[in-house]
Amino acid sequence: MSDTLKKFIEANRAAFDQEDPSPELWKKLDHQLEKANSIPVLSIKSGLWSVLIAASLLIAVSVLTFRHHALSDQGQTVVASAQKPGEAPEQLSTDTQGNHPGGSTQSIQTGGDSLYTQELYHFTQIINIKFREIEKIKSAHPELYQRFSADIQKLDSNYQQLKQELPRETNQEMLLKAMLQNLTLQVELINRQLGIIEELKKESHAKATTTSI
Amino acid sequence: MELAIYSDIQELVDKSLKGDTRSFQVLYQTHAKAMFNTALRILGNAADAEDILQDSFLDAFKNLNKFSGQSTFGAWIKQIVIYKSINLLKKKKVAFVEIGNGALDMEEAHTEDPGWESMQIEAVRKAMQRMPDGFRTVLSLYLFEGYDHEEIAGILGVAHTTVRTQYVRGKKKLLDLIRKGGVS
Repeated sequence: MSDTLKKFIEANRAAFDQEDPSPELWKKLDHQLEKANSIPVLSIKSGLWSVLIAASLLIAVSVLTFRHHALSDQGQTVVASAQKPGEAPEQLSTDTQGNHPGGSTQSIQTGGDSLYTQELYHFTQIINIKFREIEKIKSAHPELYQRFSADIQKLDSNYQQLKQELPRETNQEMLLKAMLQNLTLQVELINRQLGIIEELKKESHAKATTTSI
Repeated sequence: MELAIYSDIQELVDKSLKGDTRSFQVLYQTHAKAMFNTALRILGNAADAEDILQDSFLDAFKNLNKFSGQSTFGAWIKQIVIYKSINLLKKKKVAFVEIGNGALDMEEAHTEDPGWESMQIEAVRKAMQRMPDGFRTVLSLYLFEGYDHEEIAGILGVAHTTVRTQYVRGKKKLLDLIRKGGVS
């Protein structure tokens, strides 16, 4: 079936575009483009704020957890533990190389075979590895690095406090649990920070791509 | 000549990618009229067409980095305009599938086209404006935007046979309106 109508329209295609959009439309669009131009910055900022808020929450949780354990210990009898009091802290030693905040500063000598010791060792290793990633932004984003390190440092100071308590602590298991929880929070915080760094990398990559064109 | 225009457009795209809204304004001005008419033919009213135009160019600006350059900017923005227009119609519950949509009867399938010389641009244009939404969409995409039936079926999310039925019926209706002068 020959389609004369289609052929006619194709032959006169341009003549069918007669209507004009309102001249005001560009003004509205221009206004939105200005907003759109500022979105990448905002997204990083909002991302940063979410991390900072998350960090504050994590710190608050960590402190509360510690206090909860401290309070609950007062009314509790010593829980039988295979671990001898004072053994665990000797397995924990502060790694003085660099100024790494957080769990990255700790390493555990794997002399003990208790479940907690293994877990603590495992987490400190994770934090060490992950924090090296955070460090990579030190030169490119010194301010952000400072904020991130400070947040991890806050959690870490709690950890150090718990660690100091350990030799005197009668309820070893409870304190080790608190220490483990602290390291878990540190890992979670670093993961969120790495998420922001990833976003930053994408942003800068996009900019680099556009400038190279 | 065509290459020169293409490279100009590409340059505007590149500058827009860097956030240069002045370059994007030129891209807008170069394509806005055609895109507005495309949206208008599908949607049937200027207010909706302007909303779609605005929304489409904003999306294009935000996603310029995804514009691979495999097609022209014009083809790319047209695709955005068409998809957004169809989505709006879908939101408005425009049915692209006719009830009782079955095989075409012979009378419908063999509607004779009027002679080439009897066609008038204005009559076709006005007849299109008077078409019901579902028919007008299929006719717009096939007659004006160069999509084939398979592609239209994909865009509308309906069967290929439905598009063909809608097109043949729609064209019959359109030709009737053209014969009557397409004027209300």
